[in-house]
Amino acid sequence: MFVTSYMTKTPITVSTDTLIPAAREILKKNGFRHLPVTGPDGKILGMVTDRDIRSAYPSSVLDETEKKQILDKVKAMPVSSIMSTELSCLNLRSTIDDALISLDKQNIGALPVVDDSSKVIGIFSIRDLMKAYGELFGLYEKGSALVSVENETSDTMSKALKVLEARAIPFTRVIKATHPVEDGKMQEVIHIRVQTMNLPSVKEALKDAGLKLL
Amino acid sequence: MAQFKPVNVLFSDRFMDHDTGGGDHPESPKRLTSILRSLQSGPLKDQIRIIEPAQADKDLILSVHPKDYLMRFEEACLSGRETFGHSDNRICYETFEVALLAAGACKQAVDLAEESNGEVTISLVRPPGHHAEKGMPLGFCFLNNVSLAAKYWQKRYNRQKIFILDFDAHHGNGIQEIFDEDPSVFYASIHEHPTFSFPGTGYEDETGTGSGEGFTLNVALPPGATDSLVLKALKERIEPALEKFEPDCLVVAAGFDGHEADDMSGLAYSTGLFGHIGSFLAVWAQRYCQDRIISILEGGYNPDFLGPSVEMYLGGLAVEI
Repeated sequence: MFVTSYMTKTPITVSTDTLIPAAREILKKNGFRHLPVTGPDGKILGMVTDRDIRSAYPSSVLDETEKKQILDKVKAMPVSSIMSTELSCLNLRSTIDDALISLDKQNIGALPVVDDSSKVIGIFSIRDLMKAYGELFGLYEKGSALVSVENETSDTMSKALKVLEARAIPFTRVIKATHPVEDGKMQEVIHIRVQTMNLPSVKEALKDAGLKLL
Repeated sequence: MAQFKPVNVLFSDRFMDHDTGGGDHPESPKRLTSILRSLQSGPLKDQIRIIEPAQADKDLILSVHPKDYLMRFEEACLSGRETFGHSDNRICYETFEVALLAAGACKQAVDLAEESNGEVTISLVRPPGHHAEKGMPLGFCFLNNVSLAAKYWQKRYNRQKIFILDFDAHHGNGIQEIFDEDPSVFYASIHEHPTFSFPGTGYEDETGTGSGEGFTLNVALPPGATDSLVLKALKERIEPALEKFEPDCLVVAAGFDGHEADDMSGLAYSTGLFGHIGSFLAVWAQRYCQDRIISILEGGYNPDFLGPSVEMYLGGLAVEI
């Protein structure tokens, strides 16, 4: 549940005086888009993204003279001149929910993760977030499928789980959720990720216990 | 009246000896009884030639599965355990030997496809295979019969480009894993969407990795999907992939549990659909690979409909074009 389990640990960082072309090369070579900028003590000072770098380079619509002028200027510019400094960071105690909220609100692709002294210890991207939630919901679990029952009464969940336990049917995830259905109504559902190919037997057992399958 | 080609059926009574414990286990010997009954009493009965297979040698099995896995599998059977790897995978004392025989039937199907002149060949085997990964049994499967046949075809006959079509209701995770990085084998599967169906793999964005990128095609159908979506997928997704790949041979993972009366999936295929699938394959086999095609039984769990479905499929494959 904590970002530290899913982040890229000890990410590549650059110092404030790193020149823009060098930063661009690092991003290109490693195939990522976010580069934390740190001080000599490893503390976070800013973030530079491939978008920041692209914006610094001359537009393709400019004429050759103008392009060259800007290009010469960019070649000598340090990343400190284009990095974002109004940063929101994740920390050792940040959950993947915290990360989702921050990434969503700020509409950005990755956040640095820092320790209590603001030293960069990782970077957490939207891709890491998807992987974390995928694992949380058992998405990559081979040999499993989702079975859903309507949550009709307060003991529906315990009934369903007792049925599975009594038949020694392995299950790995149980999620209670509310979904919108037709006419603006909401429906309470319990999703269970079971690990068996014999789904008819699972469904039969749940039905026999009086549960409504969806 | 339609004329049918001869149909070679690799089958042994020994396949009935893989005992899954009775009760409500869906993968039972009744499945094969149902198929034989249909084939021996219907319009194909004069074309059917039952051939007793021989066990595969261990070297063939080792072309797909690691030695330690085979040893664990054999030991589990011989030590009297009732399951292997998961409670779904019921075994008995005979299972290991029967699985070797099933693999042998798939190897022999390849030999027949090479030797015969455009005859239809199917291996009616238990246990099924397409969920078995290199080192992991899954979903009633222990040895990956289809993958073993593909490897054998490449090695013995130097047919390098194999196209596998899997129309079982469940995604063949095992075949996909085995050939994931292998551009010489194209794996195409039409199955129920992995969110709702075992084994939870086979999303459409799984397209192979490394040098195998682009050599896996997954068509995930929504629960309730009927014949029309399958026919559309065959025409618009599978055929173009086949044409582009230009295979030397076709191996079919033939599963019939997408039938509307089979509760092992939420798909709703008619019996007739399997005839259409057979017809598509017959045309493709002739057009792309000089009739080098074999079929291997995977799923299909409602004995009342499995026999007629297989008969319909073989009829589509065997009808003289």
